[in-house]
Amino acid sequence: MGKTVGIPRCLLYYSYFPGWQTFFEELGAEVVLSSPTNKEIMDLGIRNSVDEICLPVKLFFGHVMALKDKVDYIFVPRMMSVQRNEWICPKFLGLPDMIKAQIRELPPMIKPDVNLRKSRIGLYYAAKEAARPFTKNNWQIMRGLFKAFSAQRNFDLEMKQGKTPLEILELQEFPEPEPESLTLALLGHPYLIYESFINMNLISRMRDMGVRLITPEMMPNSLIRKNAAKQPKNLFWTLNKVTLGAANYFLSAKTVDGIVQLASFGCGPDALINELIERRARREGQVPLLAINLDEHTGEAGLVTRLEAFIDMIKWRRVTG
Amino acid sequence: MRGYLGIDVGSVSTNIVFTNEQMEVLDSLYIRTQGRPIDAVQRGMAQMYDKDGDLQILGVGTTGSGRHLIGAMVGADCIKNEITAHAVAASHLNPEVRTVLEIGGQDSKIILLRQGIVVDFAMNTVCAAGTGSFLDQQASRLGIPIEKFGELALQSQNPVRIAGRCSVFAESDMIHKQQMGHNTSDIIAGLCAALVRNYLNNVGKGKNIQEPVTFQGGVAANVGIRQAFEDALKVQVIVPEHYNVMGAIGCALLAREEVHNGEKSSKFKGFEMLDMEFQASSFECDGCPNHCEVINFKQNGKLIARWGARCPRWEVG
Repeated sequence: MGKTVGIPRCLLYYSYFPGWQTFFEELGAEVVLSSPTNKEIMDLGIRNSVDEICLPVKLFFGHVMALKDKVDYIFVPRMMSVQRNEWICPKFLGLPDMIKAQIRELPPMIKPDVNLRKSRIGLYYAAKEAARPFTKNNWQIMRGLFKAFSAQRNFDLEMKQGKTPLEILELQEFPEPEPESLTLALLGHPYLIYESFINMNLISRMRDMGVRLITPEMMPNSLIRKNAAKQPKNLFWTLNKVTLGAANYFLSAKTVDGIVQLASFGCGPDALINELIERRARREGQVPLLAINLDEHTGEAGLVTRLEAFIDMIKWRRVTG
Repeated sequence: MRGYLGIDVGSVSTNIVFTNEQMEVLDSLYIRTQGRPIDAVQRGMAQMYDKDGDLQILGVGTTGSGRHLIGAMVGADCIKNEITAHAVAASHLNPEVRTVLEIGGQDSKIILLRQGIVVDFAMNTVCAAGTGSFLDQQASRLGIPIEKFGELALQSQNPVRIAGRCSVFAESDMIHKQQMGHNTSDIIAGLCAALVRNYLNNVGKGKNIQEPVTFQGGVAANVGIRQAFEDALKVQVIVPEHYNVMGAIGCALLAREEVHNGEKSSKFKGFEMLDMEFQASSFECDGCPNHCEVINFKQNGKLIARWGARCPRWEVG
């Protein structure tokens, strides 16, 4: 039996897990996931993190706490950039350091720097670093990387065909929407829109209401990039650029009945980008937009009331339209 | 008398209206919830029943934060969120209305309508600064009955400036002004202006507020706030006759729609319900680390509904 690598089931898990898993398994390691977020993990995260960061990063602390005594290594990549000339939010840059400073008795961390800002060769260095506890064999690393690429590509393709990570990774099932049902775009960081605990089961709630959902992960990258470029200045945060591009597209193409936009309380980039989106929505005034801020509040009433009212509003518009 | 019942169970007040089939309000009640919604609704309905023993209920709607609880209790035909309910009521009473300002006990909202259709809305975020509960609290701190609060504000000659961003800071600012020697009416007028400023900055941020504007919810009783809205918006602010029960009127309207004007029979349990015993109790599920707080709702000792769980384990079959 190989050594175990713990992967926290939150943050970029929703974006890159298939690639990470395949890579470590190719090196002979066994991947262990923390359980889906629950109240205990959330509480652990809030108790053990620093105060000023956003909720999803606090949650990451909770998942690390839940995993740390069960695994030989814990995977906390330093995600700096996944796209040329762009950055991931600074909190991701400091993630391994924050974890190290706050959590005692950690198993050794696997914390490669993932920096593709200048060139994709950065990924090879990251893979080499991540593989260090298991092998130095270059050929094995390259083969692992190659297989990880293809697993990741399959995952991305499945999302492009309209599936969410909840269906692919968490094997959840939702009712099929009726042909004439509403179509809503759900925008925000993947670790907010797919994190069912923080967003109080938003996706399954919407699907149960018979809504057809589109998330940015289902859209062609080129379309998102083209529409993000409508802003006079180029954005350098990759994740927010995706949200912005998708929002700009829907606001002008009007192919959805409405947009639901999630933001995390305490997220700096969200505060800026979502304001830009709200302003554009107001200016163009055609596609209804519901902005929801998520924090530690567990009262569902507020979220449900807004969502129901939003859907009522759209249906009402449609009938009289 | 045949008609419809609308029940709005809010954090501070529980409002019940009875309308005839033409949707004219025949009776309306505004009761303090006092933390016991079941009790408040039973009390209110008993009061209504005592006044007129042969009420025939064609449909019932519930709204407000306690809508699911009370909906299960009375057998509601329609359980609707309060935004929709308020919008429906406002445009029923005045089809021209384009902006609804609503301030309740813990919620405040703005609803924009065009040609009778909701086109945009917003609600306060987690902060309840500037809603009815805070005004209540300040009134009792100053020893002024809440009903007099607005009149007193109108007497002010020189309103002081109060920081209204956060109710905790607003309170310390008020105390500071009072210790400096400003009179009470100036401080109250300042508070009204501060709350309105806060509302327009947060809830009404960037919204295109057009006339006619109606102001509803419990706080609309406060003429000081209404005046402050008129000063800030430079438009006429209309307070409808039944301003404090608009949510209830809205869900009565929606209930009528649900039962197709009385063609479909109502799910209403009847006034026998007043003699029944309703009990809500909660327990913490230990099935998984979520520790959901599950609520059991019993009617005469028999379980009729359950909610609060994140998974289907406790669904009533």
